[in-house]
Amino acid sequence: MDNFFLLATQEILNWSVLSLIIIGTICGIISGAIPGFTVTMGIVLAFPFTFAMDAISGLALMSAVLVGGYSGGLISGIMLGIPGTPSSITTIYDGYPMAKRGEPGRALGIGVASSFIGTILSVFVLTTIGPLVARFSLNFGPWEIATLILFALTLVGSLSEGAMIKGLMSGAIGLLIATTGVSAWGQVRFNFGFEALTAGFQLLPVLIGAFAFSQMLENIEQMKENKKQGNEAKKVNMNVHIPYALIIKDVWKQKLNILRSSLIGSLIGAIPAAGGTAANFVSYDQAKKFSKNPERFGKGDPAGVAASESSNNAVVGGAFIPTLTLGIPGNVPMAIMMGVLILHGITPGPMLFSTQPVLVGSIYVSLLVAAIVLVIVMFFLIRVFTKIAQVPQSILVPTVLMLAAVGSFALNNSLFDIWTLFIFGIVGYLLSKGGVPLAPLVLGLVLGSEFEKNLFRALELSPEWTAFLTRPISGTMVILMVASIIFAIWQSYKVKKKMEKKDKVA
Amino acid sequence: MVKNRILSICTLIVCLVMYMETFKFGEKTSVQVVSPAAYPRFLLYFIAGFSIFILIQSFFTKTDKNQAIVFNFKKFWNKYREIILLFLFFGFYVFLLSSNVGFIISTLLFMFASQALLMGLKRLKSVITNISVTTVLTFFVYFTFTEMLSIMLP
Repeated sequence: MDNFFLLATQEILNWSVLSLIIIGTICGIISGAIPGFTVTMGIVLAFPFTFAMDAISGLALMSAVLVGGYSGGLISGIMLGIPGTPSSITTIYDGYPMAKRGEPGRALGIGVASSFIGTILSVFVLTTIGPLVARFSLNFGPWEIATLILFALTLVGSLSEGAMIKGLMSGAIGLLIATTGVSAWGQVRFNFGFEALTAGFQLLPVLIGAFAFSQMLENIEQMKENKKQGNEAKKVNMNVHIPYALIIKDVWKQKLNILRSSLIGSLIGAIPAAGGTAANFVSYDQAKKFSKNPERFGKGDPAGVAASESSNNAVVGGAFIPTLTLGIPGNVPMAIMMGVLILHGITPGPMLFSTQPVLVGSIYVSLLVAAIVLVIVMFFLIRVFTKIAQVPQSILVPTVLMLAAVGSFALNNSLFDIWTLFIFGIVGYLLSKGGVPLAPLVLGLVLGSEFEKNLFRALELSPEWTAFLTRPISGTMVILMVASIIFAIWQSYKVKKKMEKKDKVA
Repeated sequence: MVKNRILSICTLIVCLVMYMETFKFGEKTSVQVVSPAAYPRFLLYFIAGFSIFILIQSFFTKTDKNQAIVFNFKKFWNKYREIILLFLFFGFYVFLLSSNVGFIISTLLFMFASQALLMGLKRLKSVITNISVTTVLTFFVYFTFTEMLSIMLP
């Protein structure tokens, strides 16, 4: 075991950091368990609490929220039949039927155990692949970094929610917002005569405004819709018995399924834009294909719960790979994780592994400890979490909005940041009503200044635009970028044809 | 497809305003390859291009003839009443925070008003829940930030 790993373990295994991991895991589980709240919201709201912490404590808290959040979705999925997070949709397929036939404890137990194994395996993938990617990316110049960022943005934009043009537009809007304020060369841009805008927009208020605000308002719409249709909170049988021996037997039976799903989750997690939902569906589909009894899937097969839950938690470790090694977050939670690093003056990227090995190690250890805490907390407090999952939106929405305002203010003790939150809340909501996905906007915003800096540094070094194509890595990135757009066009064409066919039949 | 038309027209207007602003940027320095306005302008062309594409596409996409295109204020208000009022409440909350009313009073007012909007005040249980959540959360957040995290609130 490397020395840095031992040092990181020492940093994490003290009471103050351990208590943060326990709190983070519990808050994460709650955020995942409440339908419509999502793990992203949990991570957004936990961010302000890290301002006063050192980097390791902040990252430990956020990592724990992530681990808990990806797993928490199984509670509402199994007990209420509503996915707490989009990454636990397939958990319902088998978890909810199991709960209905009187086996909620078994389903929850398999889900928790699979989440635990998924997290552990993904940390293993992160520790083995992460340093290799970091070493490889040490060769990256500004050409490679600029094209890599562009590739990540194109991928997120073109694959988001089936709205390619709007996704790409959203990414460009994010990049444009990032140009506000003083540029890398000292010129002020887009301040519109307001002094407060000279420093540009802070990442957090824009991010919370655009993302959390619109999400909460959509929740209100959903709440009204549910009221209208009479789909209000169901009465849930809270008497959950956990059959430990049977769960161990089930997990042992599903060992190959869990291993395969965890690897799928880790790999998909490392791809920008893919994330937990894709991992969930792909691993569920693979589990069904490899199963001797595929007809049992969807009717309460433990294999479905195991595949779904191991894969979505495995996304956590995978998603850290591009964030830590390349400084490119693949999704919104990782963009916020990057925000934590930047807040503490740490630049994510290939150098991080050599300059801050203890910090990187502390992320590994935090994830491992959070996974252990997850199992203990889930088995002891499952009834409490089920109850909390039913918290009404009428309490949740004002609470989140208030915490968002406090978080935005706490960043710099600036009231301008709360106004920023409010304005971007309106912008985000209107964009989402217009069908514009917000994830590319957030990523564009996070990566905007780095993209501009590297793009123009590359042009300063070699004024020829063709250098982006002739250098092998950046050339490959450009090809991948074009391929991702072509794939998205082909995919939307296929969907359109399918819909037309369906319409004709109807 | 009216939604897409509104989206693209609004985006184009914003692009135009921002484009005009780029003329106020400083001059290019000797170390810069392009002027400070070049990159934002490129992004603006990109966004405007996409908006025009969405606008044109909206005229060629088949719409459901049964779908009412006429704006009905009553229907709109019924659908978005809570959201519009919540925006106003939040705007007022931000205004109160900015005008030295202080975190505790502003938050108590915002939390109570927004919960009252979403859950109503007709039942005693709702009122009790509202007051409890408002009080506990406001003081909990205030205590956590000011005492535990040493972050001063407005």
